[in-house]
This record gives sequence, C-alpha cells and structure tokens, in this order.
Amino acid sequence: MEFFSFDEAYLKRLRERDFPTEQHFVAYFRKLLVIKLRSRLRGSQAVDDIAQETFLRVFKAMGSERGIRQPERLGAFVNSVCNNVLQEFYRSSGQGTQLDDDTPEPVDHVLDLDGFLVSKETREQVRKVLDQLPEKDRQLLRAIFLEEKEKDQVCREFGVDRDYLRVLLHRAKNNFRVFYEKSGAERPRAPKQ
Amino acid sequence: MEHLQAIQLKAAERYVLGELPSDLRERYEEHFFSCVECAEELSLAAAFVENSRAAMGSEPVMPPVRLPVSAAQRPAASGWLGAFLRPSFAVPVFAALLLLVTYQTFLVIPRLKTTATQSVGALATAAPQALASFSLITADSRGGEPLALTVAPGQPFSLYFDIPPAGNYSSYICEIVNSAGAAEFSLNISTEQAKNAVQLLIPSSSLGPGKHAVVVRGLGTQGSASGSATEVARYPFTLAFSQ
Repeated sequence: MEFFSFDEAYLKRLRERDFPTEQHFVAYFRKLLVIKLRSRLRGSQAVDDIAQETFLRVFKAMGSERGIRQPERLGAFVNSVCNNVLQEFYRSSGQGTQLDDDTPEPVDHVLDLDGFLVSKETREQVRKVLDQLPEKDRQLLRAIFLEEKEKDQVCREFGVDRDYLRVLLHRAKNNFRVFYEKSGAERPRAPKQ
Repeated sequence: MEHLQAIQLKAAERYVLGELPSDLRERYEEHFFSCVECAEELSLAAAFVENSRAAMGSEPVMPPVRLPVSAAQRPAASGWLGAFLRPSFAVPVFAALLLLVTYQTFLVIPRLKTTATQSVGALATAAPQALASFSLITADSRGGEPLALTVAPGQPFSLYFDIPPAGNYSSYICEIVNSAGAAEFSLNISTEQAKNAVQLLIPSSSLGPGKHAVVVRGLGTQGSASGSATEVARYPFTLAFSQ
C-alpha cells in the first residue's frame, strides 16, 4: 500500500493546476465518490453528474481567494461538497432530502458499482481468491453478490450469521490484497514532488 | 469516526454489504475521505465484490450446498419409492434397524475424544462446554492496536486467525511468543489446514497476562534451503484475566 499525504505542497500544486497532481486527485477521489454515491443512487448517469459537479466546485473553491486553507481537510471538503450536491439533486428530482432523521433506513443491499472497478486482470485475481475458498463459502458469496438474495435468508440457509459473512469478506479481501499489491494495477499513484 | 473504530467495526465490509445505519455510514464516509488507509480498505472491498460478481457470473452454476430440510418439508414419496415405504415393508425393516442401533449403542460403546485443534494437544472432555473464542483476523491491520483479550482464570480459550496464501510454502510453523519474543508454544500447520481459518485451543493458565503474539512462518518455499522459515503473519494481542 502506498501512503501519501494531502499536505501543503500537494495543495499548492493543485492550485497551480499541476497536471499529474490533478490527475491523481481526480482518480483518487473519483473512486471514493462513486462508491459513496452508488451506495445511495442506482442510476450511473446521476452518479457521474454529481461526481463531476463535486469536482467542479472543489476546483473552483481552490482557485478562490478564501479557498481551502487546511490541506489535511481536503478529503473532508470533497465529501462535504458531494453531500451538498447530493442534497440539491434530491430536491431537484423531487425525492426530498435523504439526510433527515425521519427518513427510514435504506434497504440493506450490497454495494453495486455497475462494473466500475472491474478489469480482466482484477477479475482473474479475484477468481484465484474465490477458488481457494471452501465450496460453501463460494456459494455463500455467490448468493449474496451475484444472485443478490436477501442476506438474512441466505445466512439461515447456510447456517451462518451476519458476522460470519463479514469475516468471510474481510478474509477474502485480505487474500485479494496480496494479488492486488503485487500487480500494482489500477491505483492512482501520488505524483513525485 | 476514529480510525481504530473503523477497523474494529469492520466498517469497510459493513459498508459494501450495506449494513451501516445512516448515521454511522455518514461518519464512516467523513473518515475514509480523509484517511488514505481506510480509503484503500474500502476500495479493495468494493473491487473484490465487483470482480466477484464478474468472475462468478461467467461460471457454471454448481448445485447449492444447503442445510438438510426437515422431514415435514420433504415432498411425499411416490412410484417405486412409495412401494418401499408401504407399512407392510417399512415396519419390519425399521424394526431391524432399531435392533441394530440398540446393539451398537449399548453393547459397542464408543470412546469419545474431542480435540479443539492440533496446536496444543488433545483436550478430553466428558461434556460439551462453552469456549471463549477470539478472532485475531483484524489484529494485523495496519494502524490498529493489539487486541485486548480478557478470559476467566483457569479456563481454556481459543484464538482463530488466517494464514495469507502468498508464497509456495510446504507447511507452516505457528508460535505464540511473549513480549520478549520467546516462543511459548510451537506447532506445525499443514497447507491444507491453512486454507481455512486456523483455530488454536489455549489450555487454561498456560499463558500469563501481558503481551503475546501469534507468529506464523512459512517453511520450505521452492528454491530456498529446506528448513528456512519466513514470517508471513503476526497477530499481537494482550491477555488479561477477569477478577
């Protein structure tokens, strides 16, 4: 895992429209924005529109006189702008705000990114991880991820509880990390200073 | 949400499974937008789910593995099977089976031995008992504190953890080491056992309070000298006894 920090130098390069830094910034936060927005919205067009508008506003704020003053708060700022754009989307589409306390909890459904993070290489890496799992665990994940069956029912059928499912996903994710870090694929690299 | 809370909550997994209530979800989002490590964890979890769908979507469907259904749920037998279940045939057959079972139960008495794992020897017990079990699976997460375990004095407990699949090892050595790094227990784990979560039974009072770690080393990769061991996982934990 490559660690970097959103520090003063990074923010300065963004303000100066340094291309590699902008590319990194967009790639890094776009992934997080899509994950966040897809957890709330099904339509990929709306997700793209909101992400695009979020970036526009963030870049505009960077260029303004008051701007973003605390580089370590850059991520929180992006999230906050996204929340505002999302609120506006809900109001304009007549859905009302989804962030009220009175709003009922969303239905418990697995994140669906509509293939956003899928690639041939990554799929094959995941296939290796799945092949190492016991058949029961493979079928459990198939029922949840692919067949999108209701999780409580699937857990009952397989004689497991929700914590088993979380631990299974956690272990599989860690096994997948080994292949993923070896390949070094598809991760936005921080630009060299 | 603090980073440690996100790790302990398995927030990345709960997020992709859609299990976080809205207030926790928002707090986690505020956190992972600012935390590179948690952003990576979430991205990995999401990538794994997405690519699992793609990988499994192109596979043939295997017969489902399900729990056995109760007799009340089974459909009624018909045809040639129904003939075997007619009372005139079934009653004598079942009576003979009952005699056989009675003979086995009362004249051939099996000796029961239960062993929790192969790690610290066999545990003979005459009756089932609840066992405190602790997962070390998240203990190696970067940035996390060692897990704090509290057990009742004089009681056994179990630890379970994963062995990463990386490396072409012929087997593994698993040790429990104390804070000075000295091995307190050592056992061998086969590659077959390493495919699933490994569970260690720790006999009562065999570990003292304080800091310990489960250290897993791989043995005998291809091209390396036989007997060389490479550390592949380390799970620190702190043990305390309840009053």
